[in-house]
Amino acid sequence: MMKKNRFFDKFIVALVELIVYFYIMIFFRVESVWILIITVILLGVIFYLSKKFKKTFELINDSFTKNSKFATFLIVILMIAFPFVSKLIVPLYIYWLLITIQTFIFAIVALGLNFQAGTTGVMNLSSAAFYGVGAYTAGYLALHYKLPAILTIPLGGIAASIFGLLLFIPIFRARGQYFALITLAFGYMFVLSLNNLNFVGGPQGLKNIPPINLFGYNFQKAPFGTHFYVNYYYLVLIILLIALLIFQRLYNSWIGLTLNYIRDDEPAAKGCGVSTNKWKLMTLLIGNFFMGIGGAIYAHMIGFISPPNFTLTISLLIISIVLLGGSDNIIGVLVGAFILVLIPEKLRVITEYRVMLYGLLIVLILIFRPKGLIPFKERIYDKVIAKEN
Amino acid sequence: MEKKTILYTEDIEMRFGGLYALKNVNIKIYENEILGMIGPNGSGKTTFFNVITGFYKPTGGNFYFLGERLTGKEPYDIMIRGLSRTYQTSRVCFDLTVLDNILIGTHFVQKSRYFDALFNRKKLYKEIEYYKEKAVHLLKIFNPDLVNKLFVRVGSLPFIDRRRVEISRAMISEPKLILLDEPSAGMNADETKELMDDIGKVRSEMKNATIFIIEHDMKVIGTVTERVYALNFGQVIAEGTYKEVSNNIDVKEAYFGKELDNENRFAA
Amino acid sequence: MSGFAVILQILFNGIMLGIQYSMIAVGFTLFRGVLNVLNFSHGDVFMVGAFISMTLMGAFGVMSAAGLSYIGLIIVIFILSMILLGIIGVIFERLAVKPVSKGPVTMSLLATLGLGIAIREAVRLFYPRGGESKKFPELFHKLFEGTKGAFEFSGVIFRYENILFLIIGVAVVLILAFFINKTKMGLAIRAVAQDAECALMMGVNKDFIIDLTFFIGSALAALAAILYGLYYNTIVFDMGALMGVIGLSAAVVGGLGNIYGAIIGGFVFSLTEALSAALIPRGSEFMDVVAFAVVILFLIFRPSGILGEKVFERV
Repeated sequence: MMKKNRFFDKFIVALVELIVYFYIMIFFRVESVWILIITVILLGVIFYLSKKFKKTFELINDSFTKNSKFATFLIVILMIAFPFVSKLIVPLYIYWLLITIQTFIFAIVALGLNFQAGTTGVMNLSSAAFYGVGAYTAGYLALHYKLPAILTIPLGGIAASIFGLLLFIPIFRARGQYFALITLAFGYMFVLSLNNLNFVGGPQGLKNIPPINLFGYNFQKAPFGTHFYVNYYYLVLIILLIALLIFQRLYNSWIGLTLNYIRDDEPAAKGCGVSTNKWKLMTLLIGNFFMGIGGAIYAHMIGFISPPNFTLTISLLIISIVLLGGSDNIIGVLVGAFILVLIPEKLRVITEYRVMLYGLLIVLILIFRPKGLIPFKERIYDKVIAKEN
Repeated sequence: MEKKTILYTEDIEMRFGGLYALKNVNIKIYENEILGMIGPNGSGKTTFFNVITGFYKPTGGNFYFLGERLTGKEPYDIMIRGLSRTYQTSRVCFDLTVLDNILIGTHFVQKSRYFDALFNRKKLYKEIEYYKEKAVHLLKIFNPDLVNKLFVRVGSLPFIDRRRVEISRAMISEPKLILLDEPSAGMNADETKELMDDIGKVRSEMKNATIFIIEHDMKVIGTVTERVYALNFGQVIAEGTYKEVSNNIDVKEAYFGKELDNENRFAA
Repeated sequence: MSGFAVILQILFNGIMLGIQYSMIAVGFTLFRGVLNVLNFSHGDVFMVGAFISMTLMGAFGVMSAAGLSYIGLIIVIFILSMILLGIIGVIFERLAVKPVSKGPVTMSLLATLGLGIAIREAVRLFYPRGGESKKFPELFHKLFEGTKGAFEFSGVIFRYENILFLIIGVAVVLILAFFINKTKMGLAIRAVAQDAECALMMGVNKDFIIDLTFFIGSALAALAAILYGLYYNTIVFDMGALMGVIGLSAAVVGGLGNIYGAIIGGFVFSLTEALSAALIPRGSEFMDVVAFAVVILFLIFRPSGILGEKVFERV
């Protein structure tokens, strides 16, 4: 009886994941806007059903919780297979591959911001600027010093961290809203400066940034007859998975606990012996590092970066990703990135309106659902610890 | 038997602009005692707590804990030397679990940091398991029910249980001095009685600890404490056992004004 | 130009800019005081004001009027723009700003940021050819037809128009100060700003005061917008972005919640810009950066601002 249950659980998990996976493929394949409308309707129907058939949905939920390792493993396999499966199903798969890579890059940046704003409560409104520091550092070093990607990408991350330190250490005394304001001003100053500094190309930016060449493997080569984007896809996927693992582990530990306490009640944290400034600085360092990495990869992949890529609007996009999915929620960040980067692509009809909709979205989220879409989950350090009760 | 002083202050002064919240405050706390502090609203009790825990830096005077001068240090620097406290408004993080809220109390004694969180999960889990056991042990003392609610949001608990979580948080690091700031604030008569029992349990659980309580409720002070300081307008006006202090003329004046016969009011 | 003339020119430029900045800054400080929000959509409301007044001028056929009716028309446009923008400001407040004011300040900062972006894009998308810069009609020129148009003093040329701006600006500031300090309504505003709960208990209609404050703040923005348009002759849909950040920075420098502080902050900012534009090579490109750097320094070393905001954390 036990064995049958275990197999049944895994079957449910696999079924749900495969359905979602192939639905996303169909979503990519169908050109007309109708697919989006159908998706929204479907989501509404599912939502309604989940209220009516609570038990069934709870069963599915439980299967996922009990078999989370298997679920994750399967998703990773599916993601690895993605370029090849999509090639078979989606005619424009190269375009969607690029969009997916962009989604992943923003997810990485958003994970960094989430660590700062969602987990620790440090409101950094200039994430795009640090993304930009990473991009420009990597681009400049690759272009003018011919440094290989294996160096430029981490250096991009480190540059973003150092830049962050230089900015944040002096302003630590500032309270919450003033701190946020300063980061905002910094974002402006960054773009303004970029436009006026000639050694980074001024308003034209950096062009012809060399693509990645990893241990002799040139990323411009298309593997297995697909497209060279596939190389970047796997690189970003690996980094995203590493980032997810890192943040998941940090969350489920003293680190996550301490940072949450700093976020929710800083004086109480101090009263428990937490040296809050040091911890906040650590978060800024780590978060910025990932923002910089995202930027560095972007620079190599696209080959061309300029000031308009790093404006306040982009910072807002990243903040929306964190807010929409649910602050301090790693899965939420992924969902948010998906919704905010992928879906607007389907709405090419309304590309013009995209920025306005982002703005409205932020307002609406903060009025109606400030906690985000994905419901809050308590910290359970490890299933074993939680079980013995 | 010579009593050892674990904390003493020298002429503590706390000025806000032209207002003296504390003036010439000289207080001694002896090892192992349960000390109380009373005084009407605004007399400076919480301000005093804030000074000796580093949240306010005194504008004059010094204080010493275990012989070390701690004036001007930050809260985290002070607390790690063996103090812990609760707050008048019961500061716990509503969105975090009961276990989380207690575990944070071990912040400066636990050993795993970034490296272990990332690479040595076994060591991390061992430590969490160890402190979780301690937390369970503490909660059992106050309210065995709570043991089943380790992973429940603290915000969903009734007020008195949140207080208990807060007290457990203060106790889990086995501090030498526990400061309780108006623990009975917001409680009705029944809950206050439970609280007094709780404090008794704290005492029997931590035999080597010293407890310092600020209270408004005279019943609690009378029942629980061994010695009391009375504060008014930021200055110490009396010191002694509860009986002595409650009969002190200055103290009665502070609470009720002059020319009132209030022998009964203080009856515990 | 002689050294004195340079200084005079800088001062004058600074003052002209300062009037605009101050009016926006006052709005920020009022909103923060009364509703405890950092309202980032205010800059974009300012932009809407510019577009409204420009449209009104076109609609009223201002250019073709003459004589007294011309002056009358100018006054009507000023007042109409201010009232319209005031109403728009209140609408935004009711719809989007008040609902987010209950949470932490950073939330309202974000939400109003989003709102501002939405407003900006809406103008770009829905106003006819909204993406282009628009020429703002000249209004005061006609008044000075037949005169030299300017006078000279110590080698610096002062245009009559600009003097008129100055007079209008100063007049408005004085009226505002009078209103806030000497009238009952103003007292109510100050009461709500200091302690809304308490004001409620005293019988003040908090919601009405909040609406009134937003109305005043937005109306001032309309005035600033008209002056901006007349001064620069061009308006564009994203002019509110920078102005918003400048206005808020100025309000913070002067001390959030303090109206006189906002005014002083506006002038501090503008004079810093004027100085950097004149004295630093390629200064006019970097003047915003320099001014922001100054603001950041203020926020680090004196976050309560020049005239001080009461800052205290209760434990």
